[in-house]
Amino acid sequence: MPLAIGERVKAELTGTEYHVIRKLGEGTQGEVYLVEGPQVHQAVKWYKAEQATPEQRAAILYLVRTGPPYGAAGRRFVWPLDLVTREGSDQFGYLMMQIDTQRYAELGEVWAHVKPVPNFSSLCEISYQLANSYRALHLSGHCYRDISAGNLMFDPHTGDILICDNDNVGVNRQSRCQVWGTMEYMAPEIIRDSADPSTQTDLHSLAVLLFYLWVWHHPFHGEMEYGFHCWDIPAKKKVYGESPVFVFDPDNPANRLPPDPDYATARERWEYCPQELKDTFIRVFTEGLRDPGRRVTEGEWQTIFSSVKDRLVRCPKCRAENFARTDGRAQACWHCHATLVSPPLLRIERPVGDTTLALSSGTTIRRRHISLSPANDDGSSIVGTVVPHPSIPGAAGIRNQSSTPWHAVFPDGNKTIVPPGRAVPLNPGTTLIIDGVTLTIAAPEPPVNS
Amino acid sequence: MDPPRPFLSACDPALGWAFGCSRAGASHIRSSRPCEDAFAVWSGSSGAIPCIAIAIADGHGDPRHDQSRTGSALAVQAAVDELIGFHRMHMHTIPRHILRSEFRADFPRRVTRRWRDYVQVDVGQREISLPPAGNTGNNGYTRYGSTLIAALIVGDTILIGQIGDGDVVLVRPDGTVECPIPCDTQLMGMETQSLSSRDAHLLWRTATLDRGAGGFLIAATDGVSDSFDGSEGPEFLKFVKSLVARVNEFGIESVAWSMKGWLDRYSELASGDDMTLVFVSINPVEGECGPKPGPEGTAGDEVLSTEGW
Repeated sequence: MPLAIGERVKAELTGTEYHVIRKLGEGTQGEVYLVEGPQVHQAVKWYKAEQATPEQRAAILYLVRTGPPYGAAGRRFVWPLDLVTREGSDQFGYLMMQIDTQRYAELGEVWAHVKPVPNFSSLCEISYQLANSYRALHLSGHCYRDISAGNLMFDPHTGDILICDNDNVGVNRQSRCQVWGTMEYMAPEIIRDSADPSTQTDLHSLAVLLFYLWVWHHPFHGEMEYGFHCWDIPAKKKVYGESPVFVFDPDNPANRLPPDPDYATARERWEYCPQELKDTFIRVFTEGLRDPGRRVTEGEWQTIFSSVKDRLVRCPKCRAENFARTDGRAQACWHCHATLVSPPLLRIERPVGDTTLALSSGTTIRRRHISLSPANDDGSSIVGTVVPHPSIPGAAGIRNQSSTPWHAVFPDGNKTIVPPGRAVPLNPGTTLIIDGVTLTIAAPEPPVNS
Repeated sequence: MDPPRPFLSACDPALGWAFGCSRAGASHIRSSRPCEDAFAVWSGSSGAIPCIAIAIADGHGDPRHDQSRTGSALAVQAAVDELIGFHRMHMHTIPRHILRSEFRADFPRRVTRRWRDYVQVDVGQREISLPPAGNTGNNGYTRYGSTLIAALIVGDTILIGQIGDGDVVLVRPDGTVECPIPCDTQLMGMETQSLSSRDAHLLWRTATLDRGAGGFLIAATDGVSDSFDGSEGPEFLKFVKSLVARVNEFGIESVAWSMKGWLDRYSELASGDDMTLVFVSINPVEGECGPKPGPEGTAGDEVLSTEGW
């Protein structure tokens, strides 16, 4: 039986009573209701009778007691807060925070033009946060088992994300669950019945979700799917599990995108992707299909999205965001096709690997640029920002917004201390030492013909 | 093309009763234009699992969409064919909770493609030329442009998909009104989404509901809600609830017979647009409480009607 408006339910661990205000929605396992407690409005997911099994009850209690992964990465999970029951009924649900559906969007709402399309900067942030949160979940010894666009909500403007429906989270390679995901997100070995859901199969689902976010298309929906008049379970098993072929596989043309207007957007969006992202998708959907050990890890995704976001510059003519090239090759704006001038760069030499930041007014240097962020921290705290000079038009500098002084070495060999709040001019050849990491300002690469 | 009939119906004793009615708008009649709406209702079963499928479509109707009368008819045909196929392919092979996610994942893409296939057949048969696909919003099928709403009632589930304007409202036996696909506020005052839009397969919105205690599902083209105060407007929802009250009081057949006159009157007095409404009385799932809306017609075999075909 569903809950009725005004009905009272009880949180088992805290003993708090809530009353049901209204139904917010329905999912595959139950309904979600807005409830009011002593202090705040929250939400309750109420399981259908057939889903309210003792195993599910134990799983919820386990998640409530365990809690979400620690830190910013964990706070993005809309985690079960308490088991909720109704007097005289075996059915149950769980308490969770209420989601601001005005702020947060589902991918389908973006596609249907109901919510704004995230720009590249937001898309990088969404992707980074996704990888960061699943990294934290996996490091805590859990797997999600149902990663899909249906469980992701994001702020299209800031890129902040929420991960919903966490009741399927379980201990990696140990616990069973009632939901094994939708077939289009399933790792091929699950479809072939040769593996159970695990953190490794989560990595495949995460890659499919990221591909959907960037390309608005399924990585295996090409000529094979197009050719199936009857899109039944055997057909799906073949495309997703038995013989999956990436639509942009450079070595296997068997499943290319058909010459049909429906695929124009996928083609266009693929071309917008920076090359290292394309290369990573190719790896995960070719080698990663044959050898799950070759799948892209969450940490690798984090590095890629952090890196490509650092190269975003605006076209001076139309203001469209572009991923600046760092190899000096000529580049045209994807939107207006104007020639882009290469921006100055900040080359960062880190123990975990070098990275490059394209510098323009407002560019921020974040904690993650100079140190490997722990899984429970998104590394987003700002260390420095490119700011215009207060009196010299066209001149700019990097302001120290950290709490520690920087050491600067100018091209002529002079050295100085840059205390918090002060800026160092954006002169090529200047080197900064921040927390032991060396950052060098480099001139824009001269254009060369490709 | 046959003249429109007062209403068409389909019934399954276990699931419920559906009827639809489509009327040319007053402004269309004044300018000698045909009704560009279409609807289809279907009931049948696969492997002893019954289902009811319904669809309504609103052809865009202006000179750019000069084949949209056929486009809307092909849209409801494509929707019902796709829903029947979905039912046959999935009901016996996947868990019920996966059914919903499979619908959300597959139906928009597959039904859009099927509609275009049907349009291509019509183009070939009637030697109609189609403009090439452009980057500014059309996918080459502009002349046939139409909206589409489709729903499948099967097992304990109601599956709904919508592209473009129009309304779907579910009134539960306790009087609760649900609008499972909220009105698209971003597009107010703008051209509606269409099967002929670029990326049409991405423009769909879907909803999946529990059949639960049953109720009444009403799908209508925008001509109906525009005769009141628009989608989800209080007056429109009052009209929907009044329909349910009349069905409860006088029976679904009486209401079906009266619908033609009501829609003509609303069009005359208000929107002037074509009017199409499909009304489904959905029985509760066995074991669920709630008043049982009684089907009054005879148990039919497969019935397919495509008004405006």
